[in-house]
Amino acid sequence: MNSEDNTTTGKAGGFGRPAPWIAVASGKGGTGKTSVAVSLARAALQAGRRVQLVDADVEGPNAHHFLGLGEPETFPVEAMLPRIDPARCTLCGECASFCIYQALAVLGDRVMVFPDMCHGCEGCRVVCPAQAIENGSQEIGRIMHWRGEDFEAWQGRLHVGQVLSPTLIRELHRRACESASGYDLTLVDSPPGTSCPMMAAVRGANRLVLVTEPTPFGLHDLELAMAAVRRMKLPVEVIVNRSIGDDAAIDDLCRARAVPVIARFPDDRAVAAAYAEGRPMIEAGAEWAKQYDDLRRHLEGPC
Amino acid sequence: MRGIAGVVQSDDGRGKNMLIAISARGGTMDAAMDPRLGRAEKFILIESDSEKTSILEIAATQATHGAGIQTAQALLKAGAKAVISGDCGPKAFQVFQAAGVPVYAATGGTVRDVFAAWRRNELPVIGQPGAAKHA
Repeated sequence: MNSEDNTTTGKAGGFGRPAPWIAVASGKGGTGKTSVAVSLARAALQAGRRVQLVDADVEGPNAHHFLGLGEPETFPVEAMLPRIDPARCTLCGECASFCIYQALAVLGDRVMVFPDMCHGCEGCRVVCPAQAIENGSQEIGRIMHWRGEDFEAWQGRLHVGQVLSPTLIRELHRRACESASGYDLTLVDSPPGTSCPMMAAVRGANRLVLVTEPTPFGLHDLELAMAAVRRMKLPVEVIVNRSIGDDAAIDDLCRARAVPVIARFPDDRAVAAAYAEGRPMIEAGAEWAKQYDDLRRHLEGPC
Repeated sequence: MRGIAGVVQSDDGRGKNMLIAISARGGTMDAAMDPRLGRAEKFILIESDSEKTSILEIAATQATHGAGIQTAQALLKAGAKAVISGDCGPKAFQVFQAAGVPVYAATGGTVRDVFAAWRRNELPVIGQPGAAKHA
C-alpha cells in the first residue's frame, strides 16, 4: 500500500493530480452519479479528448455496464493482516487492547485474528512488546483495467465482507494517477454517501461535481456532502438531476454556500428508457447530447 | 472478577463449582435476561455451587466495532465456563468455541429463571452462530 505517498493519493486540498481530474459524487445514492460520469466521458471522447474513467464505487461498481468493454486485466489489492508467531507471543493482550476494531482476541492459549475486522493499520505489530507480530497480508479486492484507443477505464471491486474501501480506492487512484498525464481528463465515479469511501474517492481531485435531485433526501444529503468536503478546499459545483422545474430549495442552499449550479437536467422518460437498455443519459436524444457537450465545455474552463 | 481455579468439567460441560455468565438487563437475579450478548448491559456471574453472584459490566454496549469479540474476551477473562444469552453472533461464537466455552440459548425470563432452567439441563447449546449484528 502506498497510503503515505502524497503524490499519488493527494493530500486534502493538495491538487496532487498531474492532469484535470474531476470527481463526480453525491451524498445520496441513486441521483445519477454514474450516468453523469459516463455521459461526460462520452461527450469528451466525442469532442476528441482522451479520457480516463475511474469507477471508485468499489462496493458496487457498475459504470462498466454502460461501456461495453471486453475482458479487463486485473490486479489483486492486498492489505496488511497481522500474523502471530506463537513461539514469541506471551499472550499479554497488548495487541487486542490496542485494536479498536477488535480484530484480535487473546484467549488462554492463543491469539485469534479476525481478518474482516482488521483495518490494516499495523498498530498491533508496533505495540507488541514481544515482537511476535509480523506483517502478513490478505486480498481485499481487485482492480480491473481496460485500455482503449483514447480511453482507459479503471474499476475497483472490494471483496464481499471486506471493509477497507478507502485502501482499495487509494490504490485505484495511485494506478490511474500514473497514467493520468497521458489524458486530457480523468473522471472519478465516487461511491455515494459522505463517509470514508466517498472522501477517499474525492480526495486529490482538482474539481468536484455533486449530483443531486430535487427531493428532501437529495437536498439533505447535498448539504451533508458539501459539509463533508469543505475542508478539502476543492472547487465544488452542483448538477441538479431529474429537475421538474422547481429547484428553489437546492438553489437557496447553493447560493448560501456560494456553490454554482452548473447544469439542470430535466426529468425525462427517455433517460429512464435508455438506462433500462444499459445506455447512459447522453444517448437519450439529441437534446441530451447537446446538454452534455455544454457541460463538457464548462468543465474544460476555469472553475 | 475472580476466576474459579481448578474447575473439573463433566462431560456435559457442567463442572463442579463453575462460573456461569448470564446476560442481564439489571444487576440482580430478578433482572430480566438480556437477549443480546455483545451489547448486553451487564452479565451476572454465578458460581454454580454456592450460587454466589457478582456483576460484570462490559463497555461494549456502545462499541462501534466488534462488541461480540470484546464481550467474549471479557467473559473468558472473568473465568466464565458457560455463557447463557439469547443468541450469539458468529465472531463471539468463534471465540467461545476456540476457548471451549459453551453458549446456551434462553428465550427470556429473569436471570433466576434462566439459571434454574440451565440447572435442570433445559437450555440448548448454541451449535451455530446467529447472524452478525452491526452497529
